[in-house]
Amino acid sequence: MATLPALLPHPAGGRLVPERRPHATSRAAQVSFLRMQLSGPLAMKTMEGVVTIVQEGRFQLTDDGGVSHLFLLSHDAALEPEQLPPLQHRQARVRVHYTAARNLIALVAHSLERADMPAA
Amino acid sequence: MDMHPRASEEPQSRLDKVIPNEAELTAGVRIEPGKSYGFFTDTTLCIGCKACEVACKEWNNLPADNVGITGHSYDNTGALSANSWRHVNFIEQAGACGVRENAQSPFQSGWLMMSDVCKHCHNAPCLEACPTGALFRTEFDTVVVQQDICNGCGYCVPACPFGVVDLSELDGKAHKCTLCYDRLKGGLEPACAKSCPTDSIQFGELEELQERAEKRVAQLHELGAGNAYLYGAPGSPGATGDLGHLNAFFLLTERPETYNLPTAPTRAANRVPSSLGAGLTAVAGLALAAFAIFSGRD
Ligand code: SF4
Ligand code: SF4
Repeated sequence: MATLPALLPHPAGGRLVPERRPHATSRAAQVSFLRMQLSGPLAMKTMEGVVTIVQEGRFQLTDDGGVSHLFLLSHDAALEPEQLPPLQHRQARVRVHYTAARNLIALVAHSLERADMPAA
Repeated sequence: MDMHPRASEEPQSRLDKVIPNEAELTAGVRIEPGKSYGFFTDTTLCIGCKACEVACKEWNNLPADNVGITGHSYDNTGALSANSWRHVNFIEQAGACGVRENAQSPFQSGWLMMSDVCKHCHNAPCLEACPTGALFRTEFDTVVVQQDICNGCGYCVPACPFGVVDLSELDGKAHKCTLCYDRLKGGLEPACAKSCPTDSIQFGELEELQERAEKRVAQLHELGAGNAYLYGAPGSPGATGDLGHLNAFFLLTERPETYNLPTAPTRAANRVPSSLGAGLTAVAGLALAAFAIFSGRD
């Protein structure tokens, strides 16, 4: 694995820039990779909508634009699959914190909260 | 299959409610707890349309997986998995030196297509291996994983001789076909069988399906497909190694391995006494060796 290159003072402005080394991943490249990850599949995003279909730990959320999204409950979600059907029966409005799933057309729900109830 | 007499009672094309005991109309069977149900998959009828895969994903809210093209024919799903509970195998049959024969025998001889699924084994090894009781036998004689009880230990995965049950990396739980447990409770035929346009997948009461399958094999033999046989019906290949029989059984025309099925599947539990014996013998041998070495010292 490539190690982080040492930081050198910038000759012109005194800012820190990565030292260029052959065959080593530059810090700029690593930072840009991390940025891409944080705005890409690994970034936690939020969506609000109504739970319209539930099957085991999988549920469909219909957003305000009428578009339906398929979510899978993640292993780190505090919710259990049997807590999902009541949300569907009540057509509950929920807020889901999610990430994208790799190699699946689905989103991974890490936490869920009722959006139609005042926060406790 | 003749039209069910009840069909005339339901002439409307838009329904405002579920038809009671709908499976009577679509599969000619009333679903009642306490009876055995299963699938008879006649691979000679499969056209590889994948309607069964899609219907399964639609009903069970399963995501599309393995996005992209595998490069292996039209089979882009690849295999059964935690997110694909039906998988249509596409097997191209080549002749000598990989060149297809000009003359082909009847019934799916150029391409073999087979919609694979959990077999809902009579003596299910996955169920026997499950330490939490998450895998259970339902009132319809099918095998289902209860998601709230599964702790993701994965013991069922190597226990299944067909490589069916799979752990999801996302929720850490075991997943497989439920034979549409929720639909059966509502009197509905499973989604895959209902959607199959050629009736390659037939759902029904097990005994009736087994009789129907025997007749189909005899009919195919008469028509010149002498290689047709049943896999998983009582006393046939697939129903080996104390599995009893498979509630989801198949009509095949090639050796089981061609369809990625084991020739003689067995219960993992059958190997426990010999493995335990070998383990205990090894421990006793090591203890004796240690005693011999250390007792010789001053
Ligand atoms: S095919 Fe595998 S997963 Fe299905 S019941 Fe048999 S052992 Fe269990
Ligand atoms: S729906 Fe029927 S014909 Fe189509 S792929 Fe499935 S089993 Fe084959």
